[in-house]
Amino acid sequence: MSKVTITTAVKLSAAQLNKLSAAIEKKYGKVAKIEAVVDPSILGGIIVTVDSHQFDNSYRNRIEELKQQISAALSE
Amino acid sequence: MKNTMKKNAPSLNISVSDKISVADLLKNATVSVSETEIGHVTSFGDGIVQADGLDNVRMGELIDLGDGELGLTLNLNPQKVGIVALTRAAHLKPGDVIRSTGRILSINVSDEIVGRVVDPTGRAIDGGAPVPKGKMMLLERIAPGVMTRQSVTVPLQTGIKAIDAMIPIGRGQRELIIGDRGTGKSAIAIGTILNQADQNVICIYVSIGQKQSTLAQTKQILEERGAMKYTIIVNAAASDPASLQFLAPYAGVAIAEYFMDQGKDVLIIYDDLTKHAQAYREISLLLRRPSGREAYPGDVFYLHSRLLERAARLNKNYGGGSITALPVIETQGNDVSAFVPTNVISITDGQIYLETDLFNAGMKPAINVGLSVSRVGSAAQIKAMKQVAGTMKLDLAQFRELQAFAQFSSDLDDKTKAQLDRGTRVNAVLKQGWDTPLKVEEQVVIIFAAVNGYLDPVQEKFLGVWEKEYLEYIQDQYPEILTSIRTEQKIIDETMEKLKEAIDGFNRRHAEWMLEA
Repeated sequence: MSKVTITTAVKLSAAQLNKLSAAIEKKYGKVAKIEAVVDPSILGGIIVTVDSHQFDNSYRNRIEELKQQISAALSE
Repeated sequence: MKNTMKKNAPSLNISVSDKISVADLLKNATVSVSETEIGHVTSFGDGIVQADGLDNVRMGELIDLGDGELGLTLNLNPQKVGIVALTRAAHLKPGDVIRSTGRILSINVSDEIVGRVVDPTGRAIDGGAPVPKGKMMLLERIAPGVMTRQSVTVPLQTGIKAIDAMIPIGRGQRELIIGDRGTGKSAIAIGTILNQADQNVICIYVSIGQKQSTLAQTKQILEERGAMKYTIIVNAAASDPASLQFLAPYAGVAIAEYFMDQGKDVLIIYDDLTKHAQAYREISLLLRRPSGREAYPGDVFYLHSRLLERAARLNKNYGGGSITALPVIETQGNDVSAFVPTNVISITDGQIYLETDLFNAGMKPAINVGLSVSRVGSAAQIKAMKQVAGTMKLDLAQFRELQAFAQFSSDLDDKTKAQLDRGTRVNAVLKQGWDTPLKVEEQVVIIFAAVNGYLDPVQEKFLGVWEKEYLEYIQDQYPEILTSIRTEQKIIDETMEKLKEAIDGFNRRHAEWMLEA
Protein backbone atom coordinates (compact mmCIF):
# COMPACT_ATOMS: atom_id res chain seq x y z
CA MET A 1 0.00 0.00 0.00
CA SER A 2 1.39 3.33 -1.03
CA LYS A 3 1.67 6.52 0.90
CA VAL A 4 0.75 9.52 -1.21
CA THR A 5 1.45 13.19 -0.65
CA ILE A 6 -0.14 15.86 -2.83
CA THR A 7 1.35 19.31 -2.63
CA THR A 8 -0.35 22.34 -4.15
CA ALA A 9 -0.04 26.10 -3.79
CA VAL A 10 -3.72 26.53 -2.99
CA LYS A 11 -6.06 24.22 -1.13
CA LEU A 12 -7.76 21.58 -3.27
CA SER A 13 -11.46 20.86 -2.99
CA ALA A 14 -12.63 17.45 -1.76
CA ALA A 15 -13.91 16.64 -5.24
CA GLN A 16 -10.51 17.40 -6.79
CA LEU A 17 -8.76 15.25 -4.20
CA ASN A 18 -11.12 12.36 -4.81
CA LYS A 19 -10.52 12.54 -8.54
CA LEU A 20 -6.78 12.54 -7.98
CA SER A 21 -6.79 9.64 -5.56
CA ALA A 22 -8.93 7.60 -7.96
CA ALA A 23 -6.35 8.21 -10.70
CA ILE A 24 -3.47 7.26 -8.41
CA GLU A 25 -5.19 4.08 -7.21
CA LYS A 26 -5.73 3.07 -10.79
CA LYS A 27 -1.99 3.26 -11.45
CA TYR A 28 -0.51 2.13 -8.12
CA GLY A 29 -3.20 0.05 -6.51
CA LYS A 30 -4.62 0.68 -3.08
CA VAL A 31 -3.49 3.86 -1.38
CA ALA A 32 -2.97 3.77 2.36
CA LYS A 33 -3.26 7.44 3.08
CA ILE A 34 -3.41 10.63 1.11
CA GLU A 35 -1.85 13.66 2.67
CA ALA A 36 -2.76 17.03 1.14
CA VAL A 37 -0.16 19.72 1.74
CA VAL A 38 -0.57 23.39 0.89
CA ASP A 39 2.76 25.02 0.13
CA PRO A 40 2.57 28.45 -1.49
CA SER A 41 6.32 28.39 -2.22
CA ILE A 42 5.76 26.06 -5.18
CA LEU A 43 3.92 29.02 -6.80
CA GLY A 44 1.44 26.90 -8.74
CA GLY A 45 0.85 23.49 -10.27
CA ILE A 46 1.00 20.25 -8.35
CA ILE A 47 3.54 17.82 -6.88
CA VAL A 48 2.45 14.21 -6.40
CA THR A 49 4.65 11.90 -4.35
CA VAL A 50 3.89 8.18 -4.29
CA ASP A 51 6.20 6.51 -1.78
CA SER A 52 9.61 7.80 -2.92
CA HIS A 53 8.51 8.49 -6.47
CA GLN A 54 7.86 12.15 -7.12
CA PHE A 55 6.11 13.82 -10.06
CA ASP A 56 6.90 17.51 -9.95
CA ASN A 57 4.72 19.72 -12.15
CA SER A 58 5.02 22.83 -10.01
CA TYR A 59 5.75 26.28 -11.35
CA ARG A 60 8.77 26.48 -9.12
CA ASN A 61 10.25 23.46 -10.86
CA ARG A 62 9.46 24.83 -14.33
CA ILE A 63 11.19 28.10 -13.51
CA GLU A 64 14.15 26.15 -12.14
CA GLU A 65 14.37 24.15 -15.38
CA LEU A 66 14.22 27.32 -17.46
CA LYS A 67 16.96 28.82 -15.32
CA GLN A 68 19.17 25.80 -15.91
CA GLN A 69 18.59 25.81 -19.65
CA ILE A 70 19.32 29.52 -19.95
CA SER A 71 22.46 29.37 -17.84
CA ALA A 72 23.65 26.33 -19.82
CA ALA A 73 23.12 28.26 -23.08
CA LEU A 74 24.99 31.25 -21.68
CA SER A 75 27.98 29.25 -20.50
CA GLU A 76 28.50 27.63 -23.90
CA MET B 1 19.51 43.47 -1.63
CA LYS B 2 18.16 45.87 -4.22
CA ASN B 3 21.61 47.24 -4.83
CA THR B 4 23.10 43.87 -5.68
CA MET B 5 20.29 43.13 -8.10
CA LYS B 6 20.87 46.39 -9.91
CA LYS B 7 24.54 45.63 -10.17
CA ASN B 8 23.97 42.17 -11.59
CA ALA B 9 21.38 43.06 -14.16
CA PRO B 10 23.49 45.03 -16.67
CA SER B 11 26.33 42.52 -16.76
CA LEU B 12 23.86 39.78 -17.67
CA ASN B 13 22.46 41.89 -20.54
CA ILE B 14 25.88 42.47 -22.04
CA SER B 15 26.76 38.82 -22.28
CA VAL B 16 23.36 37.93 -23.66
CA SER B 17 23.01 40.65 -26.29
CA ASP B 18 26.14 39.42 -28.10
CA LYS B 19 24.67 36.31 -29.68
CA ILE B 20 21.77 34.87 -27.76
CA SER B 21 18.31 36.33 -27.49
CA VAL B 22 16.47 35.45 -24.31
CA ALA B 23 13.19 35.37 -26.20
CA ASP B 24 14.51 32.64 -28.49
CA LEU B 25 15.83 30.72 -25.54
CA LEU B 26 12.49 30.84 -23.80
CA LYS B 27 10.69 29.83 -26.98
CA ASN B 28 12.92 26.79 -27.49
CA ALA B 29 13.07 25.82 -23.84
CA THR B 30 11.23 22.67 -22.87
CA VAL B 31 9.72 22.18 -19.49
CA SER B 32 8.16 18.92 -18.50
CA VAL B 33 6.88 17.11 -15.47
CA SER B 34 10.01 16.00 -13.66
CA GLU B 35 9.92 12.45 -12.39
CA THR B 36 12.47 11.64 -9.70
CA GLU B 37 13.09 9.39 -6.78
CA ILE B 38 13.19 11.39 -3.58
CA GLY B 39 14.27 10.64 -0.08
CA HIS B 40 14.63 12.44 3.21
CA VAL B 41 17.80 12.88 5.20
CA THR B 42 17.50 10.98 8.46
CA SER B 43 21.03 11.66 9.66
CA PHE B 44 24.11 13.41 8.43
CA GLY B 45 27.58 13.40 9.90
CA ASP B 46 31.23 12.99 8.86
CA GLY B 47 30.26 13.24 5.20
CA ILE B 48 27.84 10.30 5.44
CA VAL B 49 24.15 10.88 4.70
CA GLN B 50 21.58 8.30 5.80
CA ALA B 51 18.30 8.73 4.00
CA ASP B 52 14.92 7.04 3.75
CA GLY B 53 12.92 6.74 0.53
CA LEU B 54 14.95 6.49 -2.71
CA ASP B 55 13.32 3.10 -3.32
CA ASN B 56 14.57 2.49 -6.85
CA VAL B 57 18.00 4.02 -6.62
CA ARG B 58 20.98 2.08 -7.97
CA MET B 59 24.38 1.39 -6.46
CA GLY B 60 26.93 4.06 -7.34
CA GLU B 61 24.29 6.50 -8.49
CA LEU B 62 24.73 10.24 -8.04
CA ILE B 63 22.32 11.85 -5.61
CA ASP B 64 21.42 15.53 -5.77
CA LEU B 65 21.83 16.81 -2.23
CA GLY B 66 20.54 20.25 -3.17
CA ASP B 67 22.56 23.46 -3.50
CA GLY B 68 24.38 21.92 -6.47
CA GLU B 69 26.15 19.39 -4.26
CA LEU B 70 26.29 15.69 -5.02
CA GLY B 71 26.48 12.44 -3.13
CA LEU B 72 27.13 8.84 -4.12
CA THR B 73 25.09 5.83 -2.98
CA LEU B 74 27.26 3.17 -1.35
CA ASN B 75 24.85 1.23 0.88
CA LEU B 76 21.40 0.10 -0.17
CA ASN B 77 19.03 -1.24 2.47
CA PRO B 78 15.26 -1.71 2.23
CA GLN B 79 14.62 1.04 4.76
CA LYS B 80 17.57 3.34 4.32
CA VAL B 81 20.25 4.34 1.88
CA GLY B 82 23.83 5.23 2.82
CA ILE B 83 25.23 8.08 0.76
CA VAL B 84 28.67 9.57 0.87
CA ALA B 85 28.78 13.31 0.17
CA LEU B 86 31.29 14.33 -2.49
CA THR B 87 31.56 17.83 -1.07
CA ARG B 88 31.16 19.30 2.40
CA ALA B 89 27.34 19.58 1.97
CA ALA B 90 27.25 21.93 4.95
CA HIS B 91 23.66 22.96 4.18
CA LEU B 92 22.10 19.53 4.87
CA LYS B 93 19.67 19.12 7.75
CA PRO B 94 17.66 16.10 8.86
CA GLY B 95 14.39 16.01 6.94
CA ASP B 96 15.82 17.70 3.83
CA VAL B 97 14.67 16.31 0.50
CA ILE B 98 17.36 14.70 -1.67
CA ARG B 99 16.76 13.29 -5.13
CA SER B 100 18.22 10.72 -7.45
CA THR B 101 19.73 11.94 -10.70
CA GLY B 102 19.74 8.64 -12.59
CA ARG B 103 23.37 9.29 -13.49
CA ILE B 104 26.18 6.89 -12.70
CA LEU B 105 29.37 8.63 -11.66
CA SER B 106 31.41 9.64 -14.70
CA ILE B 107 34.02 12.18 -15.69
CA ASN B 108 34.18 14.50 -18.68
CA VAL B 109 37.32 13.80 -20.74
CA SER B 110 38.48 15.40 -23.97
CA ASP B 111 41.84 15.60 -25.72
CA GLU B 112 42.37 19.06 -24.22
CA ILE B 113 42.55 17.59 -20.71
CA VAL B 114 46.25 16.87 -21.29
CA GLY B 115 48.36 19.34 -19.33
CA ARG B 116 45.60 20.10 -16.82
CA VAL B 117 45.05 19.53 -13.12
CA VAL B 118 41.58 18.21 -12.32
CA ASP B 119 39.76 16.89 -9.28
CA PRO B 120 38.11 13.42 -9.32
CA THR B 121 34.84 14.89 -10.61
CA GLY B 122 36.62 16.38 -13.62
CA ARG B 123 36.57 19.98 -12.45
CA ALA B 124 39.69 21.95 -13.42
CA ILE B 125 41.53 23.06 -10.28
CA ASP B 126 44.52 24.73 -11.91
CA GLY B 127 42.78 28.10 -12.25
CA GLY B 128 42.21 27.60 -15.98
CA ALA B 129 39.03 27.33 -18.01
CA PRO B 130 36.81 24.26 -17.58
CA VAL B 131 37.87 21.19 -19.57
CA PRO B 132 36.02 21.36 -22.95
CA LYS B 133 33.13 18.94 -23.37
CA GLY B 134 34.22 15.56 -24.67
CA LYS B 135 33.19 12.07 -23.71
CA MET B 136 31.73 11.08 -20.36
CA MET B 137 33.83 8.20 -19.05
CA LEU B 138 32.43 5.95 -16.33
CA LEU B 139 34.50 5.87 -13.16
CA GLU B 140 33.60 2.23 -12.56
CA ARG B 141 34.03 0.22 -15.73
CA ILE B 142 34.63 -3.48 -16.19
CA ALA B 143 38.28 -4.20 -17.02
CA PRO B 144 39.08 -5.36 -20.60
CA GLY B 145 38.43 -9.07 -21.02
CA VAL B 146 40.75 -11.85 -22.12
CA MET B 147 39.84 -11.66 -25.80
CA THR B 148 40.71 -7.99 -26.08
CA ARG B 149 44.19 -8.25 -24.58
CA GLN B 150 47.63 -9.18 -25.79
CA SER B 151 50.79 -9.86 -23.87
CA VAL B 152 53.29 -7.20 -22.91
CA THR B 153 56.05 -6.81 -25.52
CA VAL B 154 56.83 -3.10 -25.81
CA PRO B 155 59.10 -1.63 -23.14
CA LEU B 156 58.17 1.36 -21.05
CA GLN B 157 61.52 3.02 -20.44
CA THR B 158 61.78 4.56 -17.00
CA GLY B 159 65.22 6.03 -17.72
CA ILE B 160 66.45 4.56 -14.45
CA LYS B 161 69.30 2.10 -14.98
CA ALA B 162 68.48 -0.21 -12.07
CA ILE B 163 64.89 -0.60 -13.26
CA ASP B 164 65.35 -0.76 -17.03
CA ALA B 165 68.20 -3.27 -16.70
CA MET B 166 66.97 -5.59 -13.99
CA ILE B 167 63.27 -4.93 -13.33
CA PRO B 168 62.11 -3.99 -16.84
CA ILE B 169 58.60 -2.65 -17.23
CA GLY B 170 56.48 -3.23 -20.32
CA ARG B 171 53.56 -1.22 -21.63
CA GLY B 172 50.36 -2.58 -20.10
CA GLN B 173 52.12 -3.90 -17.01
CA ARG B 174 51.30 -3.12 -13.38
CA GLU B 175 54.44 -2.61 -11.35
CA LEU B 176 54.21 -1.73 -7.68
CA ILE B 177 56.58 0.81 -6.12
CA ILE B 178 56.78 -0.07 -2.44
CA GLY B 179 58.83 1.27 0.44
CA ASP B 180 58.88 3.26 3.68
CA ARG B 181 58.29 6.99 3.78
CA GLY B 182 61.16 9.04 2.41
CA THR B 183 62.76 6.30 0.34
CA GLY B 184 62.18 8.00 -3.00
CA LYS B 185 58.99 6.28 -4.20
CA SER B 186 57.47 9.39 -5.72
CA ALA B 187 60.88 10.34 -7.13
CA ILE B 188 60.94 7.13 -9.20
CA ALA B 189 57.41 7.82 -10.41
CA ILE B 190 58.14 11.41 -11.38
CA GLY B 191 61.50 10.47 -12.93
CA THR B 192 59.61 7.98 -15.10
CA ILE B 193 57.20 10.69 -16.23
CA LEU B 194 60.15 12.93 -17.14
CA ASN B 195 61.61 10.16 -19.29
CA GLN B 196 58.45 9.83 -21.42
CA ALA B 197 59.14 13.11 -23.23
CA ASP B 198 59.91 11.50 -26.60
CA GLN B 199 58.25 8.13 -25.97
CA ASN B 200 54.75 8.98 -27.17
CA VAL B 201 53.16 8.14 -23.84
CA ILE B 202 50.47 10.16 -22.07
CA CYS B 203 51.10 10.30 -18.32
CA ILE B 204 48.50 10.59 -15.58
CA TYR B 205 49.62 11.38 -12.07
CA VAL B 206 46.93 10.62 -9.49
CA SER B 207 47.76 12.28 -6.21
CA ILE B 208 45.76 10.83 -3.30
CA GLY B 209 45.73 12.48 0.12
CA GLN B 210 48.96 14.37 -0.46
CA LYS B 211 49.79 17.80 0.92
CA GLN B 212 48.84 20.59 -1.48
CA SER B 213 52.39 21.95 -1.10
CA THR B 214 53.90 18.63 -2.24
CA LEU B 215 51.67 18.54 -5.28
CA ALA B 216 52.45 22.17 -6.13
CA GLN B 217 56.12 21.25 -6.04
CA THR B 218 55.58 18.18 -8.23
CA LYS B 219 53.62 20.24 -10.75
CA GLN B 220 56.34 22.86 -10.81
CA ILE B 221 59.00 20.24 -11.53
CA LEU B 222 56.90 18.73 -14.33
CA GLU B 223 56.29 22.18 -15.79
CA GLU B 224 59.94 23.24 -15.63
CA ARG B 225 61.03 20.05 -17.36
CA GLY B 226 58.36 20.39 -20.04
CA ALA B 227 56.57 17.24 -18.87
CA MET B 228 53.17 18.87 -18.32
CA LYS B 229 52.78 18.90 -22.11
CA TYR B 230 51.89 15.21 -21.98
CA THR B 231 50.77 14.85 -18.34
CA ILE B 232 47.44 15.10 -16.52
CA ILE B 233 47.26 15.47 -12.75
CA VAL B 234 44.23 14.17 -10.85
CA ASN B 235 44.28 15.52 -7.34
CA ALA B 236 42.36 14.67 -4.19
CA ALA B 237 44.34 16.43 -1.49
CA ALA B 238 44.62 15.61 2.20
CA SER B 239 42.04 18.30 2.95
CA ASP B 240 39.46 16.92 0.51
CA PRO B 241 36.67 14.64 1.77
CA ALA B 242 37.53 10.94 2.01
CA SER B 243 34.96 10.31 -0.73
CA LEU B 244 37.04 12.26 -3.26
CA GLN B 245 40.24 10.52 -2.19
CA PHE B 246 38.45 7.21 -2.68
CA LEU B 247 37.29 8.19 -6.18
CA ALA B 248 40.56 9.74 -7.42
CA PRO B 249 42.22 6.55 -8.79
CA TYR B 250 39.03 5.55 -10.62
CA ALA B 251 38.80 9.03 -12.13
CA GLY B 252 42.44 8.71 -13.21
CA VAL B 253 41.95 5.35 -14.89
CA ALA B 254 38.75 6.60 -16.55
CA ILE B 255 40.82 9.35 -18.18
CA ALA B 256 43.45 6.76 -19.10
CA GLU B 257 40.80 4.57 -20.75
CA TYR B 258 39.67 7.50 -22.89
CA PHE B 259 43.16 7.62 -24.42
CA MET B 260 43.68 3.85 -24.49
CA ASP B 261 40.44 3.54 -26.49
CA GLN B 262 42.07 5.79 -29.09
CA GLY B 263 44.96 3.33 -29.36
CA LYS B 264 47.37 5.44 -27.35
CA ASP B 265 49.83 4.35 -24.68
CA VAL B 266 49.15 5.70 -21.21
CA LEU B 267 51.19 5.60 -18.01
CA ILE B 268 49.22 6.08 -14.81
CA ILE B 269 50.71 6.56 -11.36
CA TYR B 270 48.64 6.14 -8.19
CA ASP B 271 50.47 7.99 -5.43
CA ASP B 272 49.60 6.35 -3.14
CA LEU B 273 47.19 3.46 -2.67
CA THR B 274 47.84 3.22 1.08
CA LYS B 275 46.08 6.55 1.58
CA HIS B 276 43.40 5.38 -0.86
CA ALA B 277 42.72 2.29 1.27
CA GLN B 278 42.66 4.47 4.38
CA ALA B 279 40.10 6.82 2.83
CA TYR B 280 37.96 3.83 1.92
CA ARG B 281 38.36 2.44 5.44
CA GLU B 282 37.12 5.75 6.83
CA ILE B 283 34.03 5.67 4.62
CA SER B 284 33.34 2.01 5.37
CA LEU B 285 33.61 2.44 9.12
CA LEU B 286 31.30 5.46 9.03
CA LEU B 287 28.83 3.41 6.97
CA ARG B 288 29.05 0.80 9.75
CA ARG B 289 30.22 -1.95 7.47
CA PRO B 290 31.82 -4.87 9.31
CA SER B 291 35.56 -4.41 9.56
CA GLY B 292 38.24 -7.02 9.22
CA ARG B 293 42.00 -7.06 9.50
CA GLU B 294 43.52 -3.68 10.48
CA ALA B 295 39.92 -2.38 10.54
CA TYR B 296 39.79 -2.45 6.74
CA PRO B 297 36.48 -3.61 5.27
CA GLY B 298 36.15 -7.01 3.63
CA ASP B 299 36.30 -5.69 0.08
CA VAL B 300 39.55 -3.79 0.27
CA PHE B 301 41.21 -6.39 -1.98
CA TYR B 302 38.50 -5.92 -4.61
CA LEU B 303 38.89 -2.15 -4.17
CA HIS B 304 42.40 -2.39 -5.60
CA SER B 305 42.07 -5.42 -7.86
CA ARG B 306 39.24 -3.90 -9.91
CA LEU B 307 41.30 -0.74 -10.26
CA LEU B 308 44.57 -2.40 -11.29
CA GLU B 309 42.87 -4.90 -13.59
CA ARG B 310 41.96 -1.95 -15.78
CA ALA B 311 45.62 -1.65 -16.75
CA ALA B 312 45.89 -3.56 -20.01
CA ARG B 313 47.46 -3.84 -23.40
CA LEU B 314 44.75 -4.20 -26.02
CA ASN B 315 45.36 -6.20 -29.16
CA LYS B 316 45.27 -4.84 -32.72
CA ASN B 317 41.54 -5.47 -33.17
CA TYR B 318 40.84 -3.18 -30.25
CA GLY B 319 43.22 -0.41 -31.26
CA GLY B 320 46.41 -1.64 -29.58
CA GLY B 321 46.36 0.97 -26.81
CA SER B 322 47.74 0.33 -23.35
CA ILE B 323 47.57 1.47 -19.76
CA THR B 324 50.67 0.90 -17.66
CA ALA B 325 50.01 1.31 -13.95
CA LEU B 326 52.60 2.19 -11.34
CA PRO B 327 50.80 2.04 -7.98
CA VAL B 328 52.73 3.32 -4.98
CA ILE B 329 52.41 1.76 -1.52
CA GLU B 330 53.93 3.16 1.63
CA THR B 331 54.98 0.58 4.21
CA GLN B 332 55.81 1.10 7.85
CA GLY B 333 59.06 -0.33 9.13
CA ASN B 334 59.61 -2.32 5.92
CA ASP B 335 56.56 -4.42 6.75
CA VAL B 336 55.49 -5.76 3.38
CA SER B 337 53.27 -8.35 5.02
CA ALA B 338 50.79 -5.76 6.29
CA PHE B 339 47.30 -6.10 4.83
CA VAL B 340 47.26 -3.55 2.02
CA PRO B 341 50.86 -4.14 0.82
CA THR B 342 50.37 -7.92 0.51
CA ASN B 343 47.11 -7.38 -1.36
CA VAL B 344 48.65 -5.05 -3.89
CA ILE B 345 51.79 -7.18 -4.25
CA SER B 346 49.64 -10.13 -5.23
CA ILE B 347 47.60 -8.13 -7.74
CA THR B 348 50.52 -6.50 -9.55
CA ASP B 349 53.00 -7.99 -12.03
CA GLY B 350 55.98 -7.36 -9.79
CA GLN B 351 57.34 -4.78 -7.40
CA ILE B 352 60.13 -2.29 -7.02
CA TYR B 353 61.20 -2.55 -3.42
CA LEU B 354 62.83 0.49 -1.81
CA GLU B 355 64.73 0.35 1.48
CA THR B 356 65.58 2.98 4.07
CA ASP B 357 68.95 1.36 4.84
CA LEU B 358 70.04 1.56 1.23
CA PHE B 359 68.78 5.12 0.99
CA ASN B 360 70.76 6.14 4.08
CA ALA B 361 73.84 4.37 2.74
CA GLY B 362 73.72 6.73 -0.24
CA MET B 363 72.36 4.21 -2.71
CA LYS B 364 69.93 6.25 -4.77
CA PRO B 365 67.54 5.05 -6.09
CA ALA B 366 67.34 2.84 -2.98
CA ILE B 367 66.13 -0.20 -4.91
CA ASN B 368 66.72 -3.58 -3.36
CA VAL B 369 67.39 -5.45 -6.60
CA GLY B 370 67.34 -8.79 -4.81
CA LEU B 371 63.76 -8.45 -3.64
CA SER B 372 62.42 -6.50 -6.61
CA VAL B 373 60.95 -8.43 -9.50
CA SER B 374 59.14 -7.85 -12.75
CA ARG B 375 57.08 -10.86 -13.73
CA VAL B 376 56.27 -9.95 -17.31
CA GLY B 377 58.60 -7.11 -18.27
CA SER B 378 61.56 -9.15 -19.49
CA ALA B 379 59.58 -9.96 -22.65
CA ALA B 380 59.57 -6.25 -23.33
CA GLN B 381 63.27 -5.64 -22.76
CA ILE B 382 65.31 -4.78 -25.84
CA LYS B 383 67.99 -7.30 -26.86
CA ALA B 384 70.89 -4.92 -26.22
CA MET B 385 69.85 -4.55 -22.61
CA LYS B 386 69.43 -8.30 -22.21
CA GLN B 387 72.98 -8.77 -23.53
CA VAL B 388 74.46 -6.72 -20.71
CA ALA B 389 71.91 -7.09 -17.90
CA GLY B 390 72.22 -10.86 -17.57
CA THR B 391 75.83 -10.62 -16.43
CA MET B 392 74.96 -7.76 -14.14
CA LYS B 393 72.39 -9.76 -12.19
CA LEU B 394 74.97 -12.49 -11.65
CA ASP B 395 77.67 -10.02 -10.57
CA LEU B 396 75.34 -8.42 -8.06
CA ALA B 397 74.04 -11.69 -6.67
CA GLN B 398 77.61 -12.91 -6.05
CA PHE B 399 78.50 -9.54 -4.58
CA ARG B 400 75.65 -9.60 -2.06
CA GLU B 401 76.58 -13.08 -0.97
CA LEU B 402 80.22 -12.20 -0.42
CA GLN B 403 79.58 -8.79 1.10
CA ALA B 404 78.37 -10.08 4.45
CA PHE B 405 81.13 -12.65 4.57
CA ALA B 406 83.87 -10.19 3.67
CA GLN B 407 83.15 -8.03 6.69
CA PHE B 408 84.54 -10.70 9.00
CA SER B 409 87.67 -11.68 7.18
CA SER B 410 90.38 -9.42 5.93
CA ASP B 411 92.21 -12.28 4.22
CA LEU B 412 90.51 -12.79 0.93
CA ASP B 413 91.75 -14.78 -2.01
CA ASP B 414 92.22 -12.94 -5.27
CA LYS B 415 89.12 -14.34 -6.91
CA THR B 416 86.83 -13.26 -4.05
CA LYS B 417 88.47 -9.87 -3.99
CA ALA B 418 87.94 -9.47 -7.70
CA GLN B 419 84.28 -10.38 -7.35
CA LEU B 420 83.86 -7.88 -4.53
CA ASP B 421 85.54 -5.15 -6.57
CA ARG B 422 83.38 -5.90 -9.57
CA GLY B 423 80.24 -5.87 -7.41
CA THR B 424 81.14 -2.52 -5.88
CA ARG B 425 81.55 -1.04 -9.35
CA VAL B 426 78.38 -2.50 -10.81
CA ASN B 427 76.54 -1.25 -7.75
CA ALA B 428 78.04 2.20 -8.17
CA VAL B 429 76.85 2.32 -11.76
CA LEU B 430 73.28 1.79 -10.57
CA LYS B 431 73.35 5.03 -8.59
CA GLN B 432 71.54 7.75 -10.45
CA GLY B 433 69.92 11.09 -9.74
CA TRP B 434 66.14 10.78 -9.90
CA ASP B 435 65.83 13.71 -12.29
CA THR B 436 68.45 12.54 -14.77
CA PRO B 437 66.78 9.80 -16.78
CA LEU B 438 69.04 8.12 -19.34
CA LYS B 439 68.11 6.81 -22.77
CA VAL B 440 68.26 3.05 -23.07
CA GLU B 441 71.31 3.08 -25.39
CA GLU B 442 73.17 5.27 -22.90
CA GLN B 443 72.32 2.84 -20.13
CA VAL B 444 73.59 -0.03 -22.26
CA VAL B 445 77.03 1.47 -22.92
CA ILE B 446 77.51 2.28 -19.22
CA ILE B 447 76.44 -1.16 -18.00
CA PHE B 448 78.53 -2.78 -20.77
CA ALA B 449 81.63 -1.07 -19.39
CA ALA B 450 80.87 -2.10 -15.81
CA VAL B 451 80.10 -5.77 -16.40
CA ASN B 452 83.00 -6.26 -18.78
CA GLY B 453 85.52 -5.11 -16.22
CA TYR B 454 86.43 -1.76 -17.74
CA LEU B 455 85.64 -0.11 -14.41
CA ASP B 456 87.73 -2.55 -12.34
CA PRO B 457 90.93 -0.46 -12.52
CA VAL B 458 89.15 2.79 -11.67
CA GLN B 459 89.46 4.07 -8.09
CA GLU B 460 86.18 3.94 -6.20
CA LYS B 461 86.02 7.66 -5.50
CA PHE B 462 86.25 8.43 -9.21
CA LEU B 463 83.44 6.11 -10.30
CA GLY B 464 80.84 8.88 -10.42
CA VAL B 465 82.90 11.27 -12.46
CA TRP B 466 84.09 8.41 -14.69
CA GLU B 467 80.51 7.61 -15.65
CA LYS B 468 79.61 11.22 -16.36
CA GLU B 469 82.69 11.96 -18.49
CA TYR B 470 82.46 8.60 -20.23
CA LEU B 471 78.92 9.27 -21.37
CA GLU B 472 79.88 12.70 -22.70
CA TYR B 473 82.88 11.16 -24.43
CA ILE B 474 80.79 8.50 -26.18
CA GLN B 475 78.14 11.03 -27.21
CA ASP B 476 80.88 13.30 -28.54
CA GLN B 477 83.36 10.95 -30.14
CA TYR B 478 81.36 7.82 -30.96
CA PRO B 479 77.74 8.87 -31.57
CA GLU B 480 77.48 6.03 -34.13
CA ILE B 481 77.65 3.46 -31.31
CA LEU B 482 74.54 4.94 -29.69
CA THR B 483 72.78 5.20 -33.04
CA SER B 484 73.57 1.59 -33.85
CA ILE B 485 72.20 0.30 -30.53
CA ARG B 486 69.10 2.44 -30.92
CA THR B 487 68.30 1.29 -34.45
CA GLU B 488 69.45 -2.36 -34.21
CA GLN B 489 68.01 -2.79 -30.69
CA LYS B 490 71.04 -4.99 -29.98
CA ILE B 491 74.80 -4.75 -29.79
CA ILE B 492 76.07 -6.12 -33.08
CA ASP B 493 79.65 -7.49 -33.21
CA GLU B 494 80.98 -4.50 -35.08
CA THR B 495 79.55 -2.06 -32.52
CA MET B 496 80.89 -4.15 -29.68
CA GLU B 497 84.42 -3.95 -31.07
CA LYS B 498 84.10 -0.22 -31.52
CA LEU B 499 82.73 0.19 -28.00
CA LYS B 500 85.61 -1.80 -26.49
CA GLU B 501 88.08 0.32 -28.41
CA ALA B 502 86.32 3.49 -27.27
CA ILE B 503 86.39 2.53 -23.58
CA ASP B 504 90.07 1.50 -23.79
CA GLY B 505 90.88 4.85 -25.31
CA PHE B 506 88.89 6.66 -22.64
CA ASN B 507 90.59 4.78 -19.79
CA ARG B 508 94.04 5.55 -21.25
CA ARG B 509 93.15 9.21 -21.35
CA HIS B 510 92.28 9.27 -17.66
CA ALA B 511 95.18 7.41 -16.12
CA GLU B 512 94.91 9.68 -13.05
CA TRP B 513 91.69 7.92 -11.99
CA MET B 514 93.17 4.43 -12.11
CA LEU B 515 94.35 2.30 -9.21
CA GLU B 516 98.11 1.91 -8.93
CA ALA B 517 99.07 -1.42 -10.37
